[in-house]
Amino acid sequence: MQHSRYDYLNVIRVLVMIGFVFMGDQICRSQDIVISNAKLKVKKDFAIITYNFPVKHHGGLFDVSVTITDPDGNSIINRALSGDLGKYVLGGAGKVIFWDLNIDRLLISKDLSIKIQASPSSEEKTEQDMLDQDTVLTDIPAEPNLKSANTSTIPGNALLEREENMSIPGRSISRAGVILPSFLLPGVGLSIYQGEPHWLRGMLGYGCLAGAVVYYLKAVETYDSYLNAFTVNEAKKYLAQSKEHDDKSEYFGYAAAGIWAIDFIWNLAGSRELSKKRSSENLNKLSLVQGYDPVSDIPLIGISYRF
Amino acid sequence: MQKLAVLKTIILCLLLMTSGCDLFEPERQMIIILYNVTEITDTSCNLKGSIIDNMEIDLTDHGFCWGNNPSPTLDDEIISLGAISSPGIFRGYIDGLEPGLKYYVRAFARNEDQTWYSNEDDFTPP
Repeated sequence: MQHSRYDYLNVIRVLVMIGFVFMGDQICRSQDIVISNAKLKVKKDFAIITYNFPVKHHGGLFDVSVTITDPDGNSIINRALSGDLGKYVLGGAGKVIFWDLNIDRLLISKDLSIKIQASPSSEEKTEQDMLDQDTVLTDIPAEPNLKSANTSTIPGNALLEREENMSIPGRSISRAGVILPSFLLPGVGLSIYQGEPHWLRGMLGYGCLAGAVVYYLKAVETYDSYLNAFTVNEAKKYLAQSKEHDDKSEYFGYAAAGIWAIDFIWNLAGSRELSKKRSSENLNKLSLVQGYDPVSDIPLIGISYRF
Repeated sequence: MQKLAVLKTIILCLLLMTSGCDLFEPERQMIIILYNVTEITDTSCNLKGSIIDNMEIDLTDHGFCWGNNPSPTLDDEIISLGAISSPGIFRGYIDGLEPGLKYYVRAFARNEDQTWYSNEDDFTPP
């Protein structure tokens, strides 16, 4: 089933939580690890995640894995992740992971939790691995896995211990973008952004408009019959019918105008509310999280993004 | 500027919608009809007309007018049947026609302010 991008995102209301989890010997020893320049941008159908390893881990090799789970904890196979993930990711700055939402979003029906986890590469690289990686990596030895030695130093209840907000510009909502489409089909402007069937107002509006036109034509037709009547009774009958049709035409016309007017006010209010909501979401949808995951027994420093 | 353009568009559309409402109003009209001229002879004929709707107006006169030119008026020959206050059929008789000439005839009704005419019929006495 195909959906338009906006409909899909609105109707399904995808809520994606992305967590970066970095684990390594040095990280485990220190509680003050801060991931610098961790950012997420959504461009068209791509989620682009950029991050930097701590400076003291520059040059190290890390295995970066990605886990996507639904709210029930069920793992979802993702096919559209690429970039700095997998084995032997060189610790350093400017790391990028791409997620092609266009490919994978068909799998998304609920809120998702996406966890990107990095651990020091525990194996020596094979020659083939070396060939597969950037040649710079050939000079960098893999760091030892000191996980077991460090877990004891991490408090078990530190998850979500610290959180700070960052703002990311979201898709802007212009009032004209809501109102103008709705002028053609009432409600469609809000439907685009909210995904709710506001367009039903449009159908109702056009239904009333069609009713107005139909009765208008009937009124004109019977009025012509009145003007060409050959008897007094015929004339009375046709005139009464014409007036009746004309009245109905007016009622439908006023109803249609009312629908358009109400929709206009609705759009004004709705677009304002959407803008506020979107601004609020922009402020809150990205946050940094530092803590500890008691399930996997590893320290956490992550970023969560909701859209 | 964008808001202003939206506002202008809306006002324009509302004006169009409201002006559209005034396009048609089934108002009563004075309806007078002239039936086909009958019993045409070389010098005479019978006329029949009807006031279908008098708009509840008291008419000071009604009848027929005829002449040798199209759209005859009260300035041409007339048959005056007097005042009438309700719809109904009326008849007339024309005498003294000249054979071979084409005549045009209409029914009429009038009050102090206005004159209304019916459809037109024409005939040529043999």
